[in-house]
Amino acid sequence: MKLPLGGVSMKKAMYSLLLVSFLVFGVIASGCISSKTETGTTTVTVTKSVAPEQNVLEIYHWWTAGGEKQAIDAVFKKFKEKYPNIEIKANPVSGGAGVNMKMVLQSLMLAGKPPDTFQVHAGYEMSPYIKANQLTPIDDIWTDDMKKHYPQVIQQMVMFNGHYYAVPINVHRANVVWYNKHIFEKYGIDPNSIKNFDDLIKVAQELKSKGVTPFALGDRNKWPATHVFEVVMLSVGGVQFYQDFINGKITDPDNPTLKKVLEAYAEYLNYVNSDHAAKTWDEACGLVYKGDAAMTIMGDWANGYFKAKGWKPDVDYGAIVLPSNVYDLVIDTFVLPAKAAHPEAAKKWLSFIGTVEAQNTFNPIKGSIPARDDAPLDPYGPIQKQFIKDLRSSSTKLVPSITHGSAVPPAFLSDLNDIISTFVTNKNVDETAKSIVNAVKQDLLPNKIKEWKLT
Amino acid sequence: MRTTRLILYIVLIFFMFIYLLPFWSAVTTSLKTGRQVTMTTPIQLVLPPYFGAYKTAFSELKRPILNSLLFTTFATIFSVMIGSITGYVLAKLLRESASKKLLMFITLGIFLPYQSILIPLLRIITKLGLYNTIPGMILTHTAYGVPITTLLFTNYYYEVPDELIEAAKVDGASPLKIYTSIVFPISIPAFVVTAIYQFTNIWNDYLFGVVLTRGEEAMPATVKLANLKGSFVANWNIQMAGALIVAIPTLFIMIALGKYLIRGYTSGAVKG
Amino acid sequence: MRLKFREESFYSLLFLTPAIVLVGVFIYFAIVWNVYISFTDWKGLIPSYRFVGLENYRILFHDPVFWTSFKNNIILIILFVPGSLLLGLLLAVLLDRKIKFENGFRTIYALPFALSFVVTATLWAWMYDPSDGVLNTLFSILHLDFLKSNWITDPHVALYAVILALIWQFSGYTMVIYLAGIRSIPSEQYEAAIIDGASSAQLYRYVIIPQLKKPTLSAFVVLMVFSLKAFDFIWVLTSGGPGTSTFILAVEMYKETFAKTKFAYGASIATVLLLLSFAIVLPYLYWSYGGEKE
Repeated sequence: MKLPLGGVSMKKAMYSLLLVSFLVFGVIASGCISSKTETGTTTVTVTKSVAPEQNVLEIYHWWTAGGEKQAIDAVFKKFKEKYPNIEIKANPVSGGAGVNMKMVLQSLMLAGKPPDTFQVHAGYEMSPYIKANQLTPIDDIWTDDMKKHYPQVIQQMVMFNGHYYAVPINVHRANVVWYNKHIFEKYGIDPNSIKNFDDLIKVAQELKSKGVTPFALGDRNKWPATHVFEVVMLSVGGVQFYQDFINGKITDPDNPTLKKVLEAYAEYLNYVNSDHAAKTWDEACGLVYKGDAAMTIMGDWANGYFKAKGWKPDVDYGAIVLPSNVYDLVIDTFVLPAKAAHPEAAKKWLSFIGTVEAQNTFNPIKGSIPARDDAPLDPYGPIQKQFIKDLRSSSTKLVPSITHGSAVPPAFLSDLNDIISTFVTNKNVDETAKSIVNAVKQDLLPNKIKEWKLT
Repeated sequence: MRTTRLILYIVLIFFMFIYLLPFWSAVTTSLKTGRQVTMTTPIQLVLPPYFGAYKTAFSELKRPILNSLLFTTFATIFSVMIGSITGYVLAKLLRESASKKLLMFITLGIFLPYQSILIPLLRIITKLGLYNTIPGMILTHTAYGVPITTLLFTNYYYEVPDELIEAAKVDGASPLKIYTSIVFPISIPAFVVTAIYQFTNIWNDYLFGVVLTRGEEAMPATVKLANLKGSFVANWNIQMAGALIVAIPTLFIMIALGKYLIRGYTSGAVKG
Repeated sequence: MRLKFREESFYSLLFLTPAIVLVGVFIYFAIVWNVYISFTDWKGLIPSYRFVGLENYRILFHDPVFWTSFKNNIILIILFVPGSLLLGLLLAVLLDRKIKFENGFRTIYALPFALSFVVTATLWAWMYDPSDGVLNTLFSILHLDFLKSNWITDPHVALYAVILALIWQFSGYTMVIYLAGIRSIPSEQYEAAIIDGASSAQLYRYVIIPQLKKPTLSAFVVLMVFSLKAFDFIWVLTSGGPGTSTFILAVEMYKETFAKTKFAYGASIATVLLLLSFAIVLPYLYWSYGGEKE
C-alpha cells in the first residue's frame, strides 16, 4: 500500500515516542525553571515554599514605567534597608486603576488569593472591597503622629464607617491648567489674568481669533473628558455643588447649576482641538509641547511629561490652578487585604509609607507631593513647592477627585465616563443632564457608603 | 496578457502598502527618541535612527519572552495533538450521529468569552497548585485551545477518503497504528494551519497571562509589553520597539510554517 | 469482527478522553457556572447565590446600552467576517498565479496577524487620527481629500473604522488558509476542466470555489470567535467610544462585571453572547457537515 507522504510506520512510532518524552520532560523542566530562577529588577530569588512565611511581601501596583517606576523602586530600596529579611515581590499591572487591575484584583479576591497589599486610589475605589469585607481596617497603623500630620479631608478619604483602611503615599492635583509659555508670551497673555473660568474662556477666544487652538484634549480613553468636567464643575458650580453632586443630591435633570456647568463645558468645547477623540491625554500634552495648542487641563503628572520632553517649568511652560483656592485630590494609597498571606509584612509596608522618609523618597521622583504636612520642601521643584504650600494652607479647599477613583462609586464613574464621552461629541446639555441624573439614581445612590463633608 | 500581469502586480503592490502602513508607523516610532515621537507624525522617519528604545525594551522583555516561548510552544503542541487525535476519532471512528453530537459538545466552548470564566478558572488553577507557574499557563491554554483545534482537525479529516483507512483495517491494523502510520503523516497541512493559529493566539493572549501570573517567573511577554506603558508615563518609542520584538516569534512561525504549508500541498497528496 | 469493535472502542475512548476531560472541566464547568450566576443577584465582591430567575435578563432587554452593543455586534459580524473572507480569498486568488516574490507578498499580507491586538489597536489609532494621522495625511498628499474622515472620532463612522482595522488584521490569515485550499485541489480536476474548454472564470466558479467550502468553514469559525470576543482591540482603540458607539457585547460585559462589580448582570450578558454564537455557528456547522459522509 502506497503511503502518501512516505515514511515507515515503525520509524514514525519511534519518533512519536521520542516527541512525547521530550514534551513531558520539557513541562517538568519548565515547572522547575519557573520557580527557581532569578528575576529582574526589584525581586529577589523566590523559593518555592509551602507555608507562607512572614518575610515575603507580594505587592501589586501600577507604576510600571519611567519616572513612576523609579520612584517606587526607590521606596522599595529604602524599605529593604530597613527590613532586610522581607523579600519584595512586586507585581506591576499597567493601566492604572483601569481595566486590567480591576479584573485581576477582583478575580484574585474572589479566588481567595489576594496579594499582601495593593495600590488603590483613596476613596470609593476601594469601596467594593470594603463592602465585601475584603479589606482589614488598619486603625492600629494610624498612629497619633500620622493623624496629626495628614490633612482632615485626606483622612476622610481613607475612612469608612469610622475605620481607617489605607495609607496614602502621595497627593496629585487634578485642577491644573498647563500652558505653553512661549505662546502666551507671543500673544501677550498674562497667566495671572486667568482667575476664573470666564477669564479662561476670554483668553481662549482671543487665541482662537489669532488662529491658535486654545485647548488640547485627548479623550480617546474617555477619562480625560471626565477630568475636565470635574474641573469645570468646581470652577463654575463651586465646591458646595461639587459636594452635593458627589453625595448624590443632584437628582433633578433641570437643576440649574448642573445645566450651567454643562453649558460652560459645551462652551469650552468650542475651543478644543477637533481630533480630541483620537488622542490620548499625553498626545494632548504633546500638542501643547509642539505649540499646536496653548493649554491643557490635566493633573500634575503632566509636569512629569513636559520635563521628560526636556521642557523647563517657568521657562517653557507654566501651571495655572483653577479654581485657585481648590485642591482637587488624586491620591494613591495601599491597603491590607483580609486574606493577605503575609499580613505582618504588609503592615510594616503600610507603616513605612506613612513616614516622611518614604514620602520624600517617592514624591520628588514621581512628581507628586507628600501627603504628610511635615515633610520638608527641599527636594521638590518649584511647581511642587507651590502645590505643597497650597495643600497645607488653611484657605485651600480640599476635594476628592471624581475621575480618579475617590469621590464616587466605581459603577457611577463608569457610567459618567460614557455619558461625558457622548456629551463631548454632541454637546447636548439636556440629554446629558438626564443621563447623569439617571446614573446617580442607578449607580451612585445604591452604592453610597459615605457622606462627604468638604466645606 | 502582459497588461493583465502588470495590473496584477500593481494591485498586489497596492495591497502591500495598505498592509505595511501601520507597521511602518510602528517601525518609525520605535527608532525615535521620546522627543522626536512628539514632534513628528508617525509617517515620518527620523534619521539617524535611535536604538535606545530597543535596548530598553529588550532588556525588560528578555525573561517574559522566554516564559512565553516555553508555555506557548508546549500548549500549542498539546492542543494541536489533542485536536488531531480527537478529530480522528470524530471523523473516522464514530458513527455520524454520535460524531456530530460530540463535535457540537466540544466546539461549543470556542465562543466562551474569557472574561466570564476568569473566576472559576482561577479557582481551578489555584486548587491544582498551578497558580503563577508555567505548567499552569500550559494547561490553561491547552484546555482553551482544544475546542478549536478539534474543530479544525475534524473538518480536515472528514475530507480524508475512507478507503485509505479501510484498506489498513483490512490489513489488520489497530486504530492506533492507523493513526500513526496513515492519518498523522497526511495531517501535516492541518497541523501547520492549526499550529500557526494556536501559536499566534496563545502568544498574543493577555487576559490569562495577567490574571494567572504574578511576578516575573511566569509572566508572558504580552503582559510585560503592556507594562512598558506607564500609567502616567508615555513612551511610545519603547512600546513600539517592544511590540515589534514581541511580534518576532509569531512572525517567524507564520513565515516558516507558511512556506512549509504551501509547499506541502504541491504534491497533491491530500486528495490522493 | 468482535475484537475489532472492542479494539476500536477502546482507542476511541482513549483518544477522546483528553479532550472531553479538558473541555468538561475548563469549558462546561465554566459555562454552567456562568449561566447559574446569571440567575442570581450577585452584585459586589461577596458572592451571592440567591436565585432570582430571569430578572437579570429582563433588565437586560430593557437596557438601551445592551441593544446598542447587540446591534453593533451584529454589524461587526456581518461586515467583518465576510469582509475578511473575501479579502483573503481575493489575495489568495491573486497570489495563485505564479507571482514572482510570492513569498514576500504572502509574508507581508500575513504580518498583521502576528501582532498582538493591543499593538495593532494603537497603530490604527495613529492611522485614524483626523489631524495628523497616517490615512488623512496620505489622502492629502495624494489630493484625495474627499476620502478623509473623522474616523474613530465620529460616532457614526467609528464602528466601521474598527471593522476595517480588524479586517486588516485577519485577512492575512484567511489568505493563507485559502491559498492552501486552492493549492490542494488536485491537478486532475484542473486538467479535466481545461480539456473541457473551461475559461479562467469558469475554472474558478465550478472547480475552485466549491472546493473551498471546508477552508471557509475553518476561517469562518475563527473569525466568528474573534468578533464575539474582540474586547482588547476595541478597548485600546476607542474604549467603546465615542460614547457607546463602539460598544460590543464583550465590552459591555467587561464594564458591568468588573467596572461595576455586577457579576450576575455581567454573566447574563456573557450568556447572551454565547447564545448568539451558537445561533450563528450551529446552523452553519450542520449545513456544512450535512451529507458529508456517504
